[in-house]
Amino acid sequence: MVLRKLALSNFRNYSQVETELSDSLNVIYGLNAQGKTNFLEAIYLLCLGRSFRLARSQEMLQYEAQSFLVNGAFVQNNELEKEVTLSYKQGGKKEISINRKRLASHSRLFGQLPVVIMAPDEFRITAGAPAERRRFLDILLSQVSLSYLTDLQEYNRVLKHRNKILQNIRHGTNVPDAAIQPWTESLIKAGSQIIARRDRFIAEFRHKLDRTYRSFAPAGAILDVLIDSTVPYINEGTVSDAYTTRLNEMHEKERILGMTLVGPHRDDLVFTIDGADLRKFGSRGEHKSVLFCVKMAEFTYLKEKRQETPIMLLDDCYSELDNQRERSIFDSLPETSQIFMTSPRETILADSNRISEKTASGFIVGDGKIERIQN
Amino acid sequence: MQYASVSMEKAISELSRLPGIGRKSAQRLVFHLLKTSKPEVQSLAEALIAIKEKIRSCSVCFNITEADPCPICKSEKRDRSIVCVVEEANDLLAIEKTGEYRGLYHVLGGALSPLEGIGPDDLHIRELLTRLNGSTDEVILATNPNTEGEATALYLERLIKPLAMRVTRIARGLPVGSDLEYADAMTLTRALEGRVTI
Ligand SMILES: Nc1ncnc2c1ncn2[C@@H]1O[C@H](COP(=O)(O)OP(=O)(O)OP(=O)(O)O)[C@@H](O)[C@H]1O
Ligand SMILES: [Mg+2]
Ligand SMILES: [Zn+2]
Repeated sequence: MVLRKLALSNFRNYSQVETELSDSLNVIYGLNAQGKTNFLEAIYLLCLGRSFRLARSQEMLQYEAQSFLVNGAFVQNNELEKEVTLSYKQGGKKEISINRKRLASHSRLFGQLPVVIMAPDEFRITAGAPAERRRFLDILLSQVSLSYLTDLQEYNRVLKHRNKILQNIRHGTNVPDAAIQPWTESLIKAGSQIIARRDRFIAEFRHKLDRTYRSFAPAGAILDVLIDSTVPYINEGTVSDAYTTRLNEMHEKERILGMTLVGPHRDDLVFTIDGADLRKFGSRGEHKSVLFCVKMAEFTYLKEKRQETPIMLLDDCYSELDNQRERSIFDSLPETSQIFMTSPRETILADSNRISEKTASGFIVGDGKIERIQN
Repeated sequence: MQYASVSMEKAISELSRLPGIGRKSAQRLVFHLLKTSKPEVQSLAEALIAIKEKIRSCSVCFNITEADPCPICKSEKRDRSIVCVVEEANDLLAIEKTGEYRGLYHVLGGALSPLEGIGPDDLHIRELLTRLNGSTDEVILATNPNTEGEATALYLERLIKPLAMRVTRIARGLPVGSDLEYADAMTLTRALEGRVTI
């Protein structure tokens, strides 16, 4: 999939811009605070209906403006064109349409326009709290399976109800076991689906990570990832029994603390290099390398599952890497995909032309404008 | 904007408290009523009062009715061995419209929802259990196919199963997360036919 044209109006620091884009490598240069990240944010927003910086619509609306509009012309692998428009009016909700047809819900977008972002913000994945890694899992798996998304929404709703009952118990309300039982059953039903799905995902993902890291890092080092779950997983058939057992074990504790203590909402991903937990022992460069490999693996995973080449967004991503790793980044960039790469260093264009096989199209952002560099 | 007439203002604010009616629509309605003849307005007002005075819920099934028990509960033609449990009287109407179902109903008056503070005692569940007896063969759980409706069905299933009667759940032919009331007759008919024993 490629994005041929992007138009922004009143989005962040862009009042009114429209630009054509290259199907291959797009290199975007600009000084700090000129709108490089904003530009990538707009592309991601069109693909997934949300900001990768977790910004709310109001924050993306240009200061003083009443509404913003982001419009992109995508062409899929099968040559089908998709014109995606996302608009937001102050005080309203964002609206998304594809080929002028309005989507009933934002989640309809999931899976249609695969995208992978590598940005400094994404360090929350390797370095942040467990919730950040669950978000990573959920966004990725929701793009691949609509039933995952439905199960997740169901699970979260059941969880809220169940926690409410547990809170009531904690505050002294007498609740018979029979009244919490249906919520526990619903929790286990949706939760088991999520657990099984995540496990199947990790089984595939580990191999992709391992492969990318081998071509990237010093010889011999092994990158691995596993799920740290409150429900021991053996296979799909055993999940709901294991879930039930764990919940029974936690019976007292849940009622004392007033919340659900077992389930996928407590999952975490643990990355290890040669067995050492990255979060505890990783250097900054290692975090960066791992994140890059996670993103490359995410790219291949999405591509295989969706049968569509994702767009790759690389925001200021090779500072802090040594020469060998910097070169590896260029080497491992997927050949067939459309890439957007930003840097505040003017040398980026020359660098990319020197190191990469791809011919780059250059853009300069500054003063709320984006201009293509003629070469 | 406030109107000089107190009665006008009162009518507008009363109407705008109704669901789906904002202040603008309320104003439009009031202007329309101003142009309408007095007998017509009178008859509208009487109709509104009558809802509160004449309509009540059936003491057996909690359907809305003027006569107690309701025509369905009283009818000789209905199959008394089947009871279909729904959340609201609206759902009952939707199923009646299909013309396919000949059994009795029981209206719960909602679904379990801890977040809204609705527990088993807030629904007509005890009344349902006292109703079920030797002549009941099957209970159909037709609560909405959403999170709360599902939990309510699970709760009822546990209570009714030990009474040694068939408990079925309408098949999920309905779009997930939807309301029974909005399902079209075809879908509902299929869902009723495809119900599964649980
Ligand atoms: N809602 C908004 N309206 C107007 N301007 C905004 C809005 N949100 C952010 N900006 C401006 O956008 C600029 C930041 O843009 P962006 O984050 O894209 O910079 P960048 O080019 O990526 O910089 P860096 O090289 O430092 O990462 C800031 O100057 C900020 O004031
Ligand atoms: Mg930036
Ligand atoms: Zn009745």
